Amino acid sequence: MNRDVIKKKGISRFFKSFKYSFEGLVYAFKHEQNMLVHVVIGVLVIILGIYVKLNLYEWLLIGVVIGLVIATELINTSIEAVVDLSCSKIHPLAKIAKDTAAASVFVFAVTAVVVGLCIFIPNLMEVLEIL
Amino acid sequence: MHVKSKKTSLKEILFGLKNTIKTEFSMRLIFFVWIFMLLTSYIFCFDYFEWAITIMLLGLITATELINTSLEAVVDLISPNIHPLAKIAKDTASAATAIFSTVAFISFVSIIINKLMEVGII
Repeated sequence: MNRDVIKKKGISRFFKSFKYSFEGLVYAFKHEQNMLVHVVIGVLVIILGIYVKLNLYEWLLIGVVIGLVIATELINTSIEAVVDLSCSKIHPLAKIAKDTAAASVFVFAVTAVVVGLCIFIPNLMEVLEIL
Repeated sequence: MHVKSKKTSLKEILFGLKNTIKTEFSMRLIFFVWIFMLLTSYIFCFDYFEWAITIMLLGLITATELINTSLEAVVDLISPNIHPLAKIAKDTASAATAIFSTVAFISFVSIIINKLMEVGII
């Protein structure tokens, strides 16, 4: 079967996947306006984190959350491409698929904001009181 | 040539959320998981960092469940008939959600156990 042939060349597929991942990243940045917003907010959060001097665990959590927001956005782009690939006409299941994927990005972005507030408000209060 | 689709607005996102809650049993379960974890965090007096982890775990479970629902809709869209690849797609997506939920549950229980050990109850 076709899939067995693909699986035999395991190692070259592993290295090719980095190249494809990079191409996917470039595509997502060019076509999704949300992607740039997420990355800019991530960079701002990192800068704020350096200013407020987070400890190791807070940095870990911030890093994981930023990564997950970007990854969820990429999965959303992927699902949109798959839906467009399979059916170009309007179809109720296509609407459900796209809206649910967008909802997953939204839900995780909102939790990322709440997590950021949980971490930064106490730290900001500390820093501002010292000032 | 990629066909540029319309941008998803907030109305459609809310539709996606509402539809999943109405049609998927697991989404209603997750709603109760939210209430349970938030209540437990409040009762055990989590500090801000433990609250942050709890909220992240909750968001993670919800987001993966929504992605799972979306993938199921996509598979049904492409091939309404039974097909071995469709089974693979749906089963692996469910496995991903299950792994995330299990890891989140274990993490939350570890936080609580750690808290109880700090206070000295365990």
